[in-house]
Amino acid sequence: MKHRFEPEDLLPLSSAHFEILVCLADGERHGYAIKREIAERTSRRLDLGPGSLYGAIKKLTGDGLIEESDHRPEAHLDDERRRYYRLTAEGRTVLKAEAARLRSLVELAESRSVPARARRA
Amino acid sequence: MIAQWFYGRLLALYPTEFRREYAAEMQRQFRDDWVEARRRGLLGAAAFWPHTIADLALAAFQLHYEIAAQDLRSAEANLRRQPVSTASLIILLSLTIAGNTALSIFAAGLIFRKLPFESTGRLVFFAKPRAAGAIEWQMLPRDIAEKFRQTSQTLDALAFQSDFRETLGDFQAHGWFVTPSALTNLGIAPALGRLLRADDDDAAVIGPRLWQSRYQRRPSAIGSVIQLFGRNYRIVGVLEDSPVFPFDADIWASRSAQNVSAGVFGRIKPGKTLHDVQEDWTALRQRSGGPWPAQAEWLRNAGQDSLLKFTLWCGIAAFALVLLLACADLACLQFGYVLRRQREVAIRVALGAPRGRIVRFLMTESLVIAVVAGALSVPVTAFIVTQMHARLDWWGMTKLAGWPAVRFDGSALLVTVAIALASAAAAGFMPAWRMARESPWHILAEHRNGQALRFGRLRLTLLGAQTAAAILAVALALGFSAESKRRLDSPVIQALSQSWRANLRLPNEKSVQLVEGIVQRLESAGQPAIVIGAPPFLDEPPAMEYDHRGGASIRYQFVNTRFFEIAGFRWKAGRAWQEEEGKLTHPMVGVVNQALAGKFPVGSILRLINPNGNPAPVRIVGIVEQPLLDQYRPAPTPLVFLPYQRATVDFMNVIAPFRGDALRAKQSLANAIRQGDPPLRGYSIQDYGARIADNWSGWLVLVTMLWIAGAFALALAATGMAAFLIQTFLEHRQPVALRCALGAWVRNVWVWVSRQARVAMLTGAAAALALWGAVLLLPAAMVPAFGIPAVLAGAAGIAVVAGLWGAMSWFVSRRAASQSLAESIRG
Repeated sequence: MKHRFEPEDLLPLSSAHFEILVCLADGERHGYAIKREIAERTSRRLDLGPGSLYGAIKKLTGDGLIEESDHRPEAHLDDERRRYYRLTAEGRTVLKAEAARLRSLVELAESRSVPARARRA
Repeated sequence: MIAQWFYGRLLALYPTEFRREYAAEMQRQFRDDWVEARRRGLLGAAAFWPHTIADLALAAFQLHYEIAAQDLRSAEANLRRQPVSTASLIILLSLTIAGNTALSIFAAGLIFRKLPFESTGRLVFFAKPRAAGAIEWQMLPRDIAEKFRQTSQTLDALAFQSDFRETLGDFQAHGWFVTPSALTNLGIAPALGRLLRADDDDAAVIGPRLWQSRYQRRPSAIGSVIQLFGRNYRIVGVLEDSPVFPFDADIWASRSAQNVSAGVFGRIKPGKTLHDVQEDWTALRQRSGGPWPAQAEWLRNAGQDSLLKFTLWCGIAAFALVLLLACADLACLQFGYVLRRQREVAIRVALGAPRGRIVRFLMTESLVIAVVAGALSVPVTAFIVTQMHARLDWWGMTKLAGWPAVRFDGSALLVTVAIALASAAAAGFMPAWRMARESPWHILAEHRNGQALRFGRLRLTLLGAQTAAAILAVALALGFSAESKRRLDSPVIQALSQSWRANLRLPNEKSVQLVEGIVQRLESAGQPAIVIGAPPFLDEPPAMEYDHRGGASIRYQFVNTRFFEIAGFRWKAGRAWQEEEGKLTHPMVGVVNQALAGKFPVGSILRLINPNGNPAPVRIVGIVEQPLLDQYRPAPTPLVFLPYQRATVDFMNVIAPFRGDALRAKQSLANAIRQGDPPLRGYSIQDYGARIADNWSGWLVLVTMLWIAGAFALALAATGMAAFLIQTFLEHRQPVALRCALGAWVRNVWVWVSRQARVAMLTGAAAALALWGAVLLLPAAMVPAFGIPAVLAGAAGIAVVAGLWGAMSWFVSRRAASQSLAESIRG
């Protein structure tokens, strides 16, 4: 019997997993490009070492959220030994679900902090 | 370059599969990161490494954890599918681990753990020379002991002791007369006052019990006087804690010149051995021409059964064997597990899973069983240790060095963990490795053809080993029990089990008349008594040279003629000596036992050679067939009995058997001793039967352990047989059904499956019998008298295991046949 895919089963995502999915939402990337983009986007607050990065890639691949891609966006510029990864449909669903979860959390936090600010004012 | 090489080595910490998949990319990323870090300068390069190492350690741990969790889930699900066999294996294994841990705790406490006074070197004492049995203090004449103290090249701080019991008001005190160095040797410091000094004549140090009971812990106890045997002793010191083994007592009083014999102990000099001390003593004996035999022994062995270590090692070996059998059972279970997973394993290997990963995956199940069994064994071990500690007290174990330190503690937990993990490795590795090294294409081809990978030879080897161990364990338990009973069945033990033994310290003069007077007073009170130099089953008779073809050694025993009236003595020739003959000197009269019957016929002369070299001729008046007088010697040794009137010894024993009122008999014996003139230097009265039982405690512990090990071995053999039968019928389900369809009955199936196991079981039986024969290599005191009982024990072992196999194989064959199609049609 095939196991039914439920995005909620994989939530919440760790920040590294979330950042990798966000990174791949724009298209295929190889490992080092993922790392660089995340480091730049987070002002190096999240600087993934090789172990953390490929450990996370293995986990996301195993969960079926990302997969290896044969398509190479800039093949002429790249080292052909690099492996590219892309988001799967399930990965995109999970990313959306996680984004929605985070959004609701942010909204909740804001709704509770506004009266406090008002009181201070 | 070096950094990249180093990082490449560190990648070995990751699981192999992960490494194969991502190592190249990780190294590329590392190279880029390292270049960038160096570009940031020295600080950037310095900060790079901690970050990289932390990242590597965390990621490696997480990946290994995920794999372990996955394997554990798989193992748990599989074990749940066969709850009965899993539960029985866990129970058996936990009991076996508990037995092994408990024995290790006892061995560590009694043999290996240092006593407090051993921290600055070991103490040696002089024991009675005995082949086996309790190692007891040998009391030596004071002048000889003093001479040894002055001349010894091997012992320092030689101390003398003799123990006593005295009633002080309503307090029953146990004490020691000691020389000052005794207390300093034991590293004792007083809580109040001081210890004994060399110039102290009538001084005493008291322990905490007496200080509390008599002085309510008041400091004024120092300087007060206590009376011991009519003599005043001034208390000069008080101890906060009682000294440890073997001097746990209430009073330590200074020895006076009146104490004419002493136990001797001292600290061994650096670089000297026990053998050196023995030679030192022997040299002194030869110089002094004295007959005082003594054996140098470690002080921690005082009071111990000399076979205790042997017994403990036997127990450890037996339980280790049982643990191996339990591992064999676990391995059998693993074979089944591996067989069920063979397709999955083959696919994993075909897809590139490394062999190490496969082994780890397949071993997880045995690890789970061993860890659960280890956890369950912890309370069982604690219970066993507590119970044994409490129940072995009556065997006199409390007197042993290290006994108080025997307990279940943190180190015992470590032993449990180690044994459990070793069991898992021993049981799980072989099946897992067997499967992992198989070609996946071969396994898949076999599987497609409906055939399972065969573990026939391995399984048969395990069955053979289990059979051998079970037969051997049963034979050992039966053989040693029968031998124990045979040795305790001596008519002398039967006759003397209800008797009082009075150990008399004789004065220098008129000692024979004194003993004669005691015996006569007892006779007139209707209580015939035996006089004997070395009490049978407790002390070994001394040896003396005799003039026979260049000289040989013979044991001699001083007795009165009452001794020969005990049932079990039979005259082969001649008779006992008459009363008047006993007093003759040139020659003396004597009786030899059956071991000397050929050499000394009645009327012949046996020439004993005194320690000073003078001959002492003995005219043989009788040859007696003597029953066992020492349970640690399987057969009587050559012995000559001499009239006690000819003895010139400091000690003599009067044994007074009784029927009915024991206390009255003891009182009567004490009265007969007290009326003696001149008075004795001292005496003690003991329950003779209880002392014999104490002396046999090592054997009793050994026999108990052998029975426990035998029960375990049988249970494990039964489990192993069940596993063998079930797997064999599973593998041959179709041929068995076909045979039944063609008219085979249960007995045919039974014969067929028995034939499958025939070689393994016969080999196992042969191995067991060979090992049973190796019991001959045990120390002389332990070897069972080989003969009909040994043959019967071996045969009984085979019969029990064969019966077990017969019953189990018949039951499983009947089930297998009744489940087959043909049998159900026939039914």
